Amino acid sequence: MTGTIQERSRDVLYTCSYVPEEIILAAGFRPRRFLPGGPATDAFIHPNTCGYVKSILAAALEHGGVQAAGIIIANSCDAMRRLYDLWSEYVRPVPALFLDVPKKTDADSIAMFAAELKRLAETLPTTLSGRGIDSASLRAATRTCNEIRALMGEVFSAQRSAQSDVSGTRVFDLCLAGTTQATTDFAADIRRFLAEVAVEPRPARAPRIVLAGGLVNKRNVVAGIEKAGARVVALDTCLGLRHYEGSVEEDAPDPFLALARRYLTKPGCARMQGFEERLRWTKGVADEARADGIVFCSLKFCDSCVYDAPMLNERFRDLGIPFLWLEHDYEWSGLAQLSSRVEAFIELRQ
Amino acid sequence: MLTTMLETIEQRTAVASQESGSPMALWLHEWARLLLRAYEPGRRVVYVSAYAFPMEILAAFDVVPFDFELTSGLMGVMGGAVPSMEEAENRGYSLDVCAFHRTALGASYLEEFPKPELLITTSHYCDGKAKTNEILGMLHGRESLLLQVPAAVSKESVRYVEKQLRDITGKIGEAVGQSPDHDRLKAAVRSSNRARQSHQVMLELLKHRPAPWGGSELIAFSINGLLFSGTEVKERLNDAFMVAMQERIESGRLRPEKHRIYWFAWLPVYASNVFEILKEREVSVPLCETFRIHSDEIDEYDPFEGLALQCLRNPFVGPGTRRTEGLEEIMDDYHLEGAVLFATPACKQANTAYTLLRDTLARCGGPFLMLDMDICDPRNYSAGQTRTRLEAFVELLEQRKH
Repeated sequence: MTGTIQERSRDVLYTCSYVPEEIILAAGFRPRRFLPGGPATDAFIHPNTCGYVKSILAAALEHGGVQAAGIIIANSCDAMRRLYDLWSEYVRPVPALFLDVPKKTDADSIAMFAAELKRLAETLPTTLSGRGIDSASLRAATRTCNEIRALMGEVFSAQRSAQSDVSGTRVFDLCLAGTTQATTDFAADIRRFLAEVAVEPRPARAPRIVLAGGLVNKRNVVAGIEKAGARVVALDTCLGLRHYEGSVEEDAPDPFLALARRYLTKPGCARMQGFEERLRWTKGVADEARADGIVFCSLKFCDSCVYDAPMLNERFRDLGIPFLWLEHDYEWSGLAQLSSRVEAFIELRQ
Repeated sequence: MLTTMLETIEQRTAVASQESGSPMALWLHEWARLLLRAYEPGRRVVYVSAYAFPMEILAAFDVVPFDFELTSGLMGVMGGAVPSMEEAENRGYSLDVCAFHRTALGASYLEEFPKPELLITTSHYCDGKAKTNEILGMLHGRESLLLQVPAAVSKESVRYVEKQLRDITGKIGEAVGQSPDHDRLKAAVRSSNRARQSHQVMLELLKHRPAPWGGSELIAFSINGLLFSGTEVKERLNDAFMVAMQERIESGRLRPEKHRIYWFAWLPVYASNVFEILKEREVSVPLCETFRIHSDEIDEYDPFEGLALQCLRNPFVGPGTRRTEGLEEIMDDYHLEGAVLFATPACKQANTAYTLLRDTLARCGGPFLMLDMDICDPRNYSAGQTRTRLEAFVELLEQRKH
């Protein structure tokens, strides 16, 4: 958690890439993807719950509490919606707001999600004592987020380019910084990053790997892949490409509908319906980056990923794209074992 | 193998249901008959999550509903789920995947399940069910549909669910080549409303001490019986269980009862000692959360709105506190002293909020047991551990009584 106590009191935490940062910004708060660093807890939740949810609860209940104006918890998955239940009941000092996100992307679901976003925009300022949200503040926030998306698009483009040697670890660090930095600081950091990249074009001769999957919260796996002699040429995760892909229409007559459309139709995470679309998206990422393999990383007990992985493995194998599935526990406690598997996978690609 | 199993059940229960009039035999007989119909040439099969999707809609078509989870459960009851689970595991499905879903996936790879025309499920209860539905759709080369049910009941959410139900009705018609028949839908809704009335009578009868019914039969019927919603079979089954309860009360042929408890979530389908131990210790389960009624009668002239509300008011939609609404009153009405949450390891939606359930029970003054056991995979079952945990729980009930 970064910033002064006063700054942290303006933080609104969120737990999923489907929560629009625009609404948090428009209400005068700082959006922060909540990625606690402490150990997980089983005291309040079933042990077979993903480490991310357990760590969030541990941070709130066991490790000195959380300093923030509030938290928005989306129904990303069964565990997250139960996290909302537990947070509302047991973490009273920091109010929780619930965001219901459909799993479908048809017009009716987009309209339903737009209504849900409007409800969030009405309740967030009143529940957390923020600024009332109007069309002007929402459009300004949308412009800010779109600008960052466009800049990050350039970063990802440089990362996958065969004409440069942008380290995936550096890109990952930048993505991670984006979860905690103020938007203006982050935009400046991205520009600095891009300026450095532009100065030193240096083609790399190493196996090119796409890191795909759900939440990858630490740099170890990216660093591990690169230490083994490969280069991570794309980050198809919810802190990487999928978080920044696609912009929100800025002059739409209904800004909530525009937000709903962008968030529901951006490249989907495994929680969404549409396996074939996800497969096509990741295949497209791999093709564009001329990747030699895909490392798919998921959280242990993440149902959305655990059901997808065998089918992804089979389909990518059929497509001739090597695929490695790794599971982590959010704390990355089995890193040595994971590293051995990564090294063996990379060795086969060299 | 599955069809052989079903034929055996059908033959055995045909005699038993006629000779003894046993409602259990009647239920199993109807279930086996329905499942066998799914394998008859020319039958139109629609996969559906019967305990979550409004079955009245399917009852308005000439289709055979097939629930891959309930069928996996039946395979587990008959001791035939493990080979299917192993098939799924060999294909990369982790042991963290729900055992019902591993069974369904494996059985589909082994071509044990019938070929569907369409697959329908809902966003509630769990994520895994929707994922499995989609995978099975891909395996069979058929469209899989998801009914998205929002967490809150609002004008928008009712309209949204209602519209989806209308669209799904149209899709079923297209898939099976039959126009939606609104008179049949009305008749199905009328049938459900009648079944709801007998359900209410059953709930009243279950307040009787000692309990005239309950335990594993009640829990299983509360979920699997929904496969027949909207049909005369459901009415007959409800009536049969209701009459059996009335007869037991009138004749005094009731099991001795020292304690009465409430049951959260599901039950193990394979042979286990759970309900034997409860019987030995004279503990009844006269009510489970899946047998409670949460919605009103449905207006047959506006069925889609009523069916949408039925979905939206499901306690497994929205916040976990919905599962404990009215629990204090129920504990009084049914003279319940504690509760068990059956926690199968993969069922995040049912287990994750166990602290909420435990603390609600504590406020009601009752002990709570989270019984960690797999729902369908007997390879993880330990009779000794189960006995230790259940007996400790019963002792707590006894201590509180004295």
